[in-house]
Amino acid sequence: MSHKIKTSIFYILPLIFILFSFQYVSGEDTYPDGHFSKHGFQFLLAQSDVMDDEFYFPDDLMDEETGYHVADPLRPFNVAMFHFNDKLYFWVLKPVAQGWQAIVPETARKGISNFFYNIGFPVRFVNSILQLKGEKATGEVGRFFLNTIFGVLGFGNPAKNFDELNPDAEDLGQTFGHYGVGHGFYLVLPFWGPSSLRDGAGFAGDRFLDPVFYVDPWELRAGATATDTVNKTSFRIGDYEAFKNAALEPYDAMKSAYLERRLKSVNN
Amino acid sequence: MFKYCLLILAMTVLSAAPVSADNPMDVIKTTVEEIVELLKDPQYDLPEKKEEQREKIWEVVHNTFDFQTIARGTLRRHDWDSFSQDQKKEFTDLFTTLLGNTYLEKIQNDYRDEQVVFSEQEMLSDTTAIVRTKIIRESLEIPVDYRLILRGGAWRIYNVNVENISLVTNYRDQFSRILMRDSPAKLIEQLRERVNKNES
Repeated sequence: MSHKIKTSIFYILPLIFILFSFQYVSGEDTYPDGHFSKHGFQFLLAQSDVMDDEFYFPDDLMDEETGYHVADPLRPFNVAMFHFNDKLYFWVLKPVAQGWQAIVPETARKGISNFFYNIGFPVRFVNSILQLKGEKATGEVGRFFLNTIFGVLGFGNPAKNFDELNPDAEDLGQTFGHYGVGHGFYLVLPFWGPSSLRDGAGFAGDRFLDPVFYVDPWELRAGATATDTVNKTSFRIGDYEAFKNAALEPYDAMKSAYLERRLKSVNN
Repeated sequence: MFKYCLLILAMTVLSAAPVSADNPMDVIKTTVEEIVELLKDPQYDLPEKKEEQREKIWEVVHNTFDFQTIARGTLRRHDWDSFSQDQKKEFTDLFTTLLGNTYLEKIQNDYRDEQVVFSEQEMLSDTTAIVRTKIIRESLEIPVDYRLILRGGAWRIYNVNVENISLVTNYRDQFSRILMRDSPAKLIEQLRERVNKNES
């Protein structure tokens, strides 16, 4: 090769490299929600540049943009319900759950929670079918029969060792979401906690598939629900407190957390 | 000529890429194991030793969590831009304190012999990864996923998902709402109040 060509290659190659890499640099922020890097390329600068505006970081951190913009036209009501539930937890549910935890051995509490999860089978099964999720539906059937028969009416959970028998639970709210129904608006229900117009309607609809709903007299039904709730809480004492302490705005934190979880449930 | 070759060889050896850092799963495993060891250590059962235990745990946590990235992630770009340099620093420090204190308090006081199961590691790119774990408390399984970024040869955590709830997104929702109606100074003040309230 002639000397001139060699020299020009020497200059051109770096230039090509620079031009090529330019496409990975998002100069000005083009996305209102703060995406930095269009193509997932990250500039890793020294730690000392962290405070710099040019600091880029992982795409996925920006992917989950502020939520789940769900309207909250009933905010004053919701906030009031939030406070009501908060007091209910600290004054009633927590002390009872602590007592329950102290008295009832772990295996028994585990059994009770397994039992109640098991009788939730119709809700999960029907909604899996409605969403045309055949594998999930068969998984639910398998789990139900295995646990009812070998798990002795559902108190045991031999199915826990089989991944295909432990699909993520479906419910009517998720079914609505699956078919494109939005939340409508955020709703905080007394006792039940965060919900939405869609999920509340879903919950109401699911009652018809819930065996407990058909228990008479109403005292027995209430007792069963209370036992289930207290029992579930006995495993989680301290979680709500930590969540509240970590939050600047507990109401918004809970709303965000609820909506994020529902979005991920609908999408799985 | 020979010296020249030797020089080239020496340069090649010296400029060889450093052995790549531990993989993300190892980082998480080590961190969790160190913390659990500290929590289980009987010498810290005495109340007067609690402060020391807390400091030791914080050392481990501070090395593995990239608080600056986490803090930065909790603010939208235009929100971050509206902070002055001093405010950015103050915000990051306060947020780190808030997170650190909440986490330390929770694990020091509420540790009930939970087991941690390390499920799997997934590389999102050459420099980012997810490590999935499960905390097993009594019969309850709580999925906890860590997202790590490789920076300066070390893998550090930049987000945590507990039961599908992303830490950074949750704070971003709260902060963006506050900043829609209040100034950065007000947010910082609120952070400070919360930190003080928790410390009392």
